[in-house]
Amino acid sequence: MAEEPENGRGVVTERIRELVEALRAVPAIEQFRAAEERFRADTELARLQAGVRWSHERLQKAEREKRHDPRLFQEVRDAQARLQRHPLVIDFVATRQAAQDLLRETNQEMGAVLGVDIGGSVGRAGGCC
Amino acid sequence: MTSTQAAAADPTAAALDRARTLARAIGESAVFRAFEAAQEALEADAELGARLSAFQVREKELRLSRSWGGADPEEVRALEREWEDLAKHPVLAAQVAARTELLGLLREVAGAIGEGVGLDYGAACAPAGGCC
Repeated sequence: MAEEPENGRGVVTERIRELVEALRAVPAIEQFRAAEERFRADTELARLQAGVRWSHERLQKAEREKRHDPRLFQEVRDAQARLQRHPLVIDFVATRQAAQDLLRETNQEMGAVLGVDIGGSVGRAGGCC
Repeated sequence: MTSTQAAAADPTAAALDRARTLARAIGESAVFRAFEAAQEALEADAELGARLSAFQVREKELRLSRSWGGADPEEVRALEREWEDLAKHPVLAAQVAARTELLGLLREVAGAIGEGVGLDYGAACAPAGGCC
């Protein structure tokens, strides 16, 4: 059987574009993008995030100055808890998880055809919320 | 049913189908073919394979020693010299170059998909690491 002709990068680029278009039509991605937009646009959330940063900076400053104040730890925890309880954050985290699950499934499909784990080759282990 | 109708009926299946099509396109790319050829050449060279295996065993041992804080600097230098020597081997040099090229292509693919959907592809698909 004759071997398939080689592709240039242009073919790969076109197939990537088609895949991205198809992924963006999947509800998991649509919902994640919408949740992210709401997350970024919400002024109350921006205020809560600033609160987390502010209390964290106060804690770090106290640590640098060797002052150990348990109230500052509690302040950081409370600020983080307020942020994590916000419905838009809950929605954002849940939709991001679903979108990431879809990407992993996509990666597995490609790996099964190619024999190479693309995500594992280029990704960094870890990542954090 | 047309492909557009099928995609509308099950967008996830349609996306996974596109993923397989992309994988085939990567597999047929010059970069991937060059990597496969270089890898085959490497696997066919028994002497080089034995040297590489021995190198990898020593590297693993040294990494373990290093994690305990007990790596001998002289051993580290010797291993580095061994790698420099190994890397001059044309078959290995070709495989390393081809692998680097392929990794570049895979990074482009992952970057473009991630950008397109608004997620870090590598972070989403890499083995899990732990989190706060």
